Amino acid sequence: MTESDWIQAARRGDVESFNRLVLLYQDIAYNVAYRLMGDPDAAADATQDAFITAFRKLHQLEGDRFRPWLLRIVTNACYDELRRRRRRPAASLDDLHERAEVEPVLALSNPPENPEQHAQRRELNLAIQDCLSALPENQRTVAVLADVQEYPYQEIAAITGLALGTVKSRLSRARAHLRDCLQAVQELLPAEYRLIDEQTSDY
Amino acid sequence: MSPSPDTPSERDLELLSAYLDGELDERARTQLEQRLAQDRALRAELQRLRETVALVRSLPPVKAPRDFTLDPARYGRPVPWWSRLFDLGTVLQLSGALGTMAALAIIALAFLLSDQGAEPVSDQAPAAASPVALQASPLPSATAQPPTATLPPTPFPTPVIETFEEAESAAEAPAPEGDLAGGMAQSSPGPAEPLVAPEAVMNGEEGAAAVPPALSLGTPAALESQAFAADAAQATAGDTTAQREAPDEEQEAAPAQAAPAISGTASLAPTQTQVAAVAPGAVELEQPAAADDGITADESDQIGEAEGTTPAGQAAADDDRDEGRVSGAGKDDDRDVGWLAGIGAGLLVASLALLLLGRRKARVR
Repeated sequence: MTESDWIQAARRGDVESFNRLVLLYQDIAYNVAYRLMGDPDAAADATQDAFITAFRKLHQLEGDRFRPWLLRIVTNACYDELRRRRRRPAASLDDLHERAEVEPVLALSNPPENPEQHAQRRELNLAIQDCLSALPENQRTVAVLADVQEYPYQEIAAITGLALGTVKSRLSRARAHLRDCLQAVQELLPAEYRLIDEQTSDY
Repeated sequence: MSPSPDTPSERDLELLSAYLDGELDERARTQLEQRLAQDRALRAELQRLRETVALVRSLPPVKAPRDFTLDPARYGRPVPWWSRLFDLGTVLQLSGALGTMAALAIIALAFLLSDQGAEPVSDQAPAAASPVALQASPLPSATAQPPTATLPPTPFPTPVIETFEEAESAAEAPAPEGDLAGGMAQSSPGPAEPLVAPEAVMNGEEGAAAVPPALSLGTPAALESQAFAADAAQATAGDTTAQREAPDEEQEAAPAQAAPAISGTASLAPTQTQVAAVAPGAVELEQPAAADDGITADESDQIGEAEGTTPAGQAAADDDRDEGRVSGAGKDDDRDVGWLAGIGAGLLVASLALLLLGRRKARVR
């Protein structure tokens, strides 16, 4: 059976067929969610919500282009979840603290790294993630899709529903922000959190 | 937000960003490359941007911490019901089918009732009888057959003849008793010979065009059934600009008229096509029961109107008015039954439309 067959069957309410789609796309969905949200638990919640929503709204999918359609649901679910968490201040206050402890399951490990390199790399990843998280939402989505997922503009436009020109300009602005943010981070890596606060105040 | 004074404009940043992704068109790319060759600051900016993107792309992909599959027990049940509802249009088709059955039942009921109401009149025309009428209920195609009947000159029940006379006088239509008989006599020779009603030369707008098909019934004592069939064919024909043609032409012209009339109705719309196909059948159904022209005309009237073929309805109404004098007593009952048949026909149209819609929906899915 092809992906298109699974979609057809899932449209008729076949959960097993839909679950095949879930298994096929859950890593992509979770990766996008994690990079948009910067928090593993929140990303997992948003991803789960997105798949439930996708199953319920599968009849709205036109054609067989499941990935962009799903990723649109994922990004919406992420910002919904972020807003929900923002309304509960206790959770967001704990964010910085928890984030250092909870590390995402990396798909690729780099065996040749020694412990120090590993720690540095980890710091840098967290710093990049912080720079992403500091972006305004509409720029963040485009930056994650273009530079984390490496999708072409056309697909980003399909996912976000934006015009190609808008994708281009938002991505450009996002990269300018990231450039400034990362420059500062790299210069003063050990104190990254404070620097990012300074950077965001520039916006 | 600009950290250094030589930071390029937003427009240049956009160009550089798209350039990195290979998303610039040929002309813009060449222009930018020319500028880059000359502009050192622009080159430096491109390099910074490239490093930034490389850094973000260096982020390792993260794997889903668990499977996000849905539990079939929780999500499996309600969805098939909905999806089947929306995907197949089953509900539409089902209701269409039920509506069709109900419509047919109503029409059948109308004919049953009309039978009772018409009894006194049918007594007046005893020989007309159901056997004939039963044979007289052909499909539309059969109705359109060339007349082949032998119609021996039989004594006609007076009321029916009066009907014809009055119809004739009212609409300048033909077929007075004697003439009809004459015509029959003329045309009666062989079983396969079409009946010609010579006096049927007219310009009235009544159902005379449908007479020949009726004559095709080929039974003695069929005058009344002939009348019924005329009405039936009228209803079938729908488009009752049906002229009363010259006698000679009639044998050929009449069937020909019937056929175009049917197709004319059929061409209105897909749904109406079906209705047109069903409605004649309905009228024919009623023939055996309806021993009286007035009833038939009445019902034809209703059905004709339900079909939206107003000319037919009007012509039938004319007949109705004329023949109503004959049917006399049964008239009121017939009216009620006509309404019933009309409702039935209307329901039929709606149901068939639903059926078609449901089918289309199911096909689209």
